Amino acid sequence: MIDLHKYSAIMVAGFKQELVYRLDYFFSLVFRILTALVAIFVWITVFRTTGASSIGGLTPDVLYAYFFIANAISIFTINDTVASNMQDDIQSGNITTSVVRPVKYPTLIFFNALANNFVGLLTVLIPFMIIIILVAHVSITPVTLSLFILEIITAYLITSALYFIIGSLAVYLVNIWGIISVADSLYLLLGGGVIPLILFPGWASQILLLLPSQLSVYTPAATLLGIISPSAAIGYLFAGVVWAVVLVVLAALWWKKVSQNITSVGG
Amino acid sequence: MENYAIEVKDVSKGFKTFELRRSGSFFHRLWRKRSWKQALSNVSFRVKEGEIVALLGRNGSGKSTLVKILSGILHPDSGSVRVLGFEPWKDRIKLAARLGVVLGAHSQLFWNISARDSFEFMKGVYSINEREYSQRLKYYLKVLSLGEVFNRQVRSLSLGEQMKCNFVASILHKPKIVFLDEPTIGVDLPSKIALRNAVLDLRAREGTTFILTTHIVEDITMAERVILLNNGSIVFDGSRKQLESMFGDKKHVELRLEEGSAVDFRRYGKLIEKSGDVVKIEVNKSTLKNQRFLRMLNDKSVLDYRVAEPGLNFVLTKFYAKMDRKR
Repeated sequence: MIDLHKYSAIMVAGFKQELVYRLDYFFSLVFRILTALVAIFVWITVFRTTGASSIGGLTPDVLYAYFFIANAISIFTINDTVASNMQDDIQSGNITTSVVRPVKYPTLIFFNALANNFVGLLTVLIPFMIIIILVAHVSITPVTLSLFILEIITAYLITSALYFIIGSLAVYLVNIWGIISVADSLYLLLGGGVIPLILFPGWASQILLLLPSQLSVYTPAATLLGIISPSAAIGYLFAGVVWAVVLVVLAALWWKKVSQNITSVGG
Repeated sequence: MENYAIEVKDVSKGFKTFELRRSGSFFHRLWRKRSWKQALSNVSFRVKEGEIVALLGRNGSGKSTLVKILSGILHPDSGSVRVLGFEPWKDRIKLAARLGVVLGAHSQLFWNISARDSFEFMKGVYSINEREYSQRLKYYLKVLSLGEVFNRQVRSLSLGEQMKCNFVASILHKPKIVFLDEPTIGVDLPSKIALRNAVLDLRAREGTTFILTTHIVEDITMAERVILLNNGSIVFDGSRKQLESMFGDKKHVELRLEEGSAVDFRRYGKLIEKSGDVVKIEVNKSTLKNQRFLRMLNDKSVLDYRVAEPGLNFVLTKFYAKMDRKR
């Protein structure tokens, strides 16, 4: 039986920790906004120098809105909290204290990260969406909104499972900052965080839309902005759900093997 | 029939370790050298419910590995372990609800939030009901003189306060067995005494079993039984009194000498310590009856003297030296 007390206790502790240093948190948000602005300025330059009214069927307004919302989505869907927390635990030996609690370590690490990312969801994603709706006059229907919510939940499960597998490499490699950084960049690129997937060459776009990363930025942003139709979005969502199931099962099996090799500090 | 909280039979565990190469070509040095460390070899013992057992040994003797196996963190390579009837690494979640683990070097507390927040976390994770949580917390805060300290951010607490809060966090769920790994490391004397008293109090009230690993001799006085590990094997398993009397034929004599004293104390025993005008020598018990030795003690240049039992520190040092000679 699911013991809600346990999960809510983990999440509450995670919320409290996330909100201790509010100024630092505020500046991390400013950094996110600046990143979105840099992408938008690059595209403004592209449109001005080429004189094109649209690129790949996307008008400037849609592209600017895309990067604005893509950046907000990525705060929730592409985040390495799971992997970096695991590395910290393994490197410092604090995994010992986590493992002696009556909760499975993957559960503990997942809900702790969820609390952390939930703060991002409440303080960035939702306000950004409201701004987009008001400023860019994006019309959101109940169908696109429902699809969008299901897409980011599925994307969250996929990234959590992937970063959990990456994080568990710390059991063997101890320091995995480099791997986490490469994974972040690759995921952002392959997920459409740098260039919308529709603007990739046809063959590349088709391959990328089959990967689990498509759901992390491109598909939810494109669904919300009407770049893709709801029926296409359902297809991508279905592929994402299959990926989520496969990756969660893989992560669980992988952890079963890896957890036998935890040595921690001092033997 | 005796009830055993812990049963360990023929447990062995080894680790792969890596060392940096210090010789050879540049490319050769890029790859670390693999080696094998046998942390535990055929370890067997049983612990009765309510016992306080000190698990002693030098650094790297296998104490932490053994505690981690008992708490389900590590899997042994061979042998069997039952803790409260559970196989730790298979029934880890069920066992964890009945175990308390106090690791001096790794706190259960969250560094950036208050100790109270960590206690609330423990309440949820261990499913402690509100009434019991409030009662126990109130009791331990009083016993450990924590006052309002627990409302402060953990990182701002003194080491002693952190250790005491860590102890509370680890026992709030009323565990049947508590593993104490260096529970008083770096802690001031009043806090050490408070922690030791809390352990004894918990055992007396709840019948809790304690497994203590420490290098602090005063902490060992809590235990009635000592298991001594050396290079991953048990080399002594008996009462603390038995261990203390292992070198019972020796006595320590502390002499306070007049400046420039010519007393030849070295002929009666081995010099252990010299600090200013005070010297400490180790003598055989029979020496204390030696007339010439007694005359020396009464020499006018010997201002004062004191005869004492060698103590656990001395016994352990002797024991380790004996083990090294055997190797």
